[in-house]
Amino acid sequence: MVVTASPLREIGCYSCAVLLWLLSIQPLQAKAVGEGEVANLAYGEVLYQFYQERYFDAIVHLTAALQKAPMAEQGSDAELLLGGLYLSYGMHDEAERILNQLLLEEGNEALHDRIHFYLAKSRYRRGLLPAAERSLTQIKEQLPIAQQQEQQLIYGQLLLDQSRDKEAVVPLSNLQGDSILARYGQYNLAIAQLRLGDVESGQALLQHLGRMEVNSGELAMLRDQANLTIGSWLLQQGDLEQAKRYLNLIRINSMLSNDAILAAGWGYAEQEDYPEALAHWLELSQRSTAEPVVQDALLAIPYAFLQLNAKPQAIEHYNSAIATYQHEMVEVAAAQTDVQSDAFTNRYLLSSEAESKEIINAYLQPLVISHPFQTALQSLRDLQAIEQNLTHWSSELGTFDTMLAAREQNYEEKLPLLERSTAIEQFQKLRQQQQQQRQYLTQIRAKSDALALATSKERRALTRLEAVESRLPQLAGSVDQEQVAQRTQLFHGILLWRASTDFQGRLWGVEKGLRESEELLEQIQVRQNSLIALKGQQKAIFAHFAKQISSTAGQIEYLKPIVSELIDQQRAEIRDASLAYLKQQQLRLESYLTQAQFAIAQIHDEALKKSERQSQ
Amino acid sequence: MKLKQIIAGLLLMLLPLMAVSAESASAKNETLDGQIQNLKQEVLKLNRNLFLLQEELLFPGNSQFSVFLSLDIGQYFQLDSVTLKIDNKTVANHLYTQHELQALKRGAVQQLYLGNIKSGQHELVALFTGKGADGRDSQRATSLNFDKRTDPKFIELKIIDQTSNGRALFEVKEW
Repeated sequence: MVVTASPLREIGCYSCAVLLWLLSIQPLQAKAVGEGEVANLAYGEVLYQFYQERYFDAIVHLTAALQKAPMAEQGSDAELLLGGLYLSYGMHDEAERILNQLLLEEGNEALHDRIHFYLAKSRYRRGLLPAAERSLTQIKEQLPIAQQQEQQLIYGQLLLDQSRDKEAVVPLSNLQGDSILARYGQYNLAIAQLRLGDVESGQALLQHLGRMEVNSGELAMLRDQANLTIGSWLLQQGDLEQAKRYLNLIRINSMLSNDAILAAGWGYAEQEDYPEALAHWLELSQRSTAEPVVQDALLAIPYAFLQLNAKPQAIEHYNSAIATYQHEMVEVAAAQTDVQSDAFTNRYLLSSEAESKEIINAYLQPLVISHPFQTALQSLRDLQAIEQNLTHWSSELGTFDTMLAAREQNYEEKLPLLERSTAIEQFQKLRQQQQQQRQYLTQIRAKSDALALATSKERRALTRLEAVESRLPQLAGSVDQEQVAQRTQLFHGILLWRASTDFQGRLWGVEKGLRESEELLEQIQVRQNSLIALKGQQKAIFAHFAKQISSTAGQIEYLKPIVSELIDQQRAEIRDASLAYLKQQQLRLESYLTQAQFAIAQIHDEALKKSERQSQ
Repeated sequence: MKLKQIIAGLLLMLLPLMAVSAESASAKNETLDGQIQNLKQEVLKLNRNLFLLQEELLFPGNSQFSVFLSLDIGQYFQLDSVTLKIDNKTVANHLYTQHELQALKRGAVQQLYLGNIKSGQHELVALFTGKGADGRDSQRATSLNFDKRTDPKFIELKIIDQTSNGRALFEVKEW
């Protein structure tokens, strides 16, 4: 969590954005930009869901695609993407299982480094510091530059979290430059140096950060943080003049300005410059009284008046503070009622980010923007989405039943037509004819029977010649008989010569035609076989579908109460955390109230004693 | 005295700063988190099975027909919408959001249409509306005559930046 005295929504939004960024796994793309070729449509479609942060749909589509066919083109990327998707969807255990599996594959050091990096981030975020450190130390510096910076930052942070400040200096010192990550690293390095007693280096680094040029709200916030830290440090050293220089650099509208004003006021008070201290605290008292820092100032103001011996003003301000604390306690009680009735959670879940600040009680805002709370809310959102998903499928399964019935009916109607179109008797007849033709062609080839392949014109001529030859006996004894016989023989020879000359070509043509008809028959045979198989299988397929629909319906009904139960538990978790947080606020206000009441009583007591002494 | 308390409070900021830091989850939280993870796993499996079942039932392989859309860079044509016609009948209209366009520009592929068609010859026409490289409104079109057989048919509409002439090329690819 970001360490601030009074975090507001601004940093919360920022935290969420960075959280997504920190958790994001950048998969290899379906195509490299500019290459113009998509390697796998299904993988590209999963990326379409992923890039729009629809993690649930992306996981469903990817696992379905992988079940249909492996994504050979993507290599390990599909699995890596799946691991990343599970991380993004809050399923750390499954993500770790997949990513660890990928680590068993040998020969891809760059991929291994990326996996160790993502595992480290995920583990660190869940507070598994030793495991995160193990992953970080296994990275062999094959990460892209941007990720290397992130790696150093996480490593340094992880060591600082365990008070291993000396070790933390090493990775944090690697963060040079002016990127946001580098700036965070430099701030953390300054903190490590101050903790280690290297005041000079720590101060110098904070001074540098406190004066850096900024081009974003994020960096401006970091600059304010650096100035507040160094200002507070100098105040502790008793160097008010130097401290003021840094505290005055904090933007007036910054969420840290309240802390700066309060601290500066106490700096003046320490030097007994109470008028100046009052000036700071009175300014602070005009700000939101829901802020703990402002509430603190409300007690400091009458304290300063007392030091200036202005008891009436002190009493007035103590009374004013008491009224404010009582009013704020009513606000806290209202927030508690709001939380107990779940109205707060419901309202927040329905609000947009812009609306949420307006509708959430000021006392809950610091809690709401904290990372654990946002994670808990996201889990609740996920569970509610699951509940809707199951309701949706419950109603859709009826459509599946209808569709299955329609397909069965359609099948029953079409089956007779299909059977007729591929009637077995008709097919057998065609098959016999084709076999006879094949035998006949074999005989023609064996005998080189050229006239068997004569054209129709040649056949007609041959028929006419045969008719003439059959009449030759009628011309017996005549002069013409021999002449006609010679001529018919000549024509016969010409016909035979022509047919013989073209025989090979004709044979090839007939062979080709016969082969085509054989292929056609083969296709019919395949269709016929598949129809026979289909007839056997289709009923089983329909029965399988029906069984699947029915078992899925049962599974949905089984899951529904589990989801409801988990939603209730998650709501209770959020409720308990909120109430515990509000209890702290309530106790703080009660303590302030007691202090103010006690101070008034003390003033009155002293006045009474003084009056008694005077009367004696 | 009070100053020291205040400064001590402020110097708690000597804790390291990072947007997201480690959190320690309670045992109760971990149990609940584990239960939620298990539920998510079951629901994801259920959805995967239903996704496949839906596809088998509603879009059987012999008639299944899908159209996808991809951008290669997407600088020369700022896509606003697509209309898809099959055999002169409009089957899909899509108006793009910035999120969707960003996803496409990063290399993702959109499934624009999933449906059924009969085996045989068909004509696909895609009309693209958007802004050209000069920033003016522009309408472009591409078409394809294709043969649907008994296996699922996948078609990809591609909008490709051509650096040679600074214009977008609209292509159709059969997979």
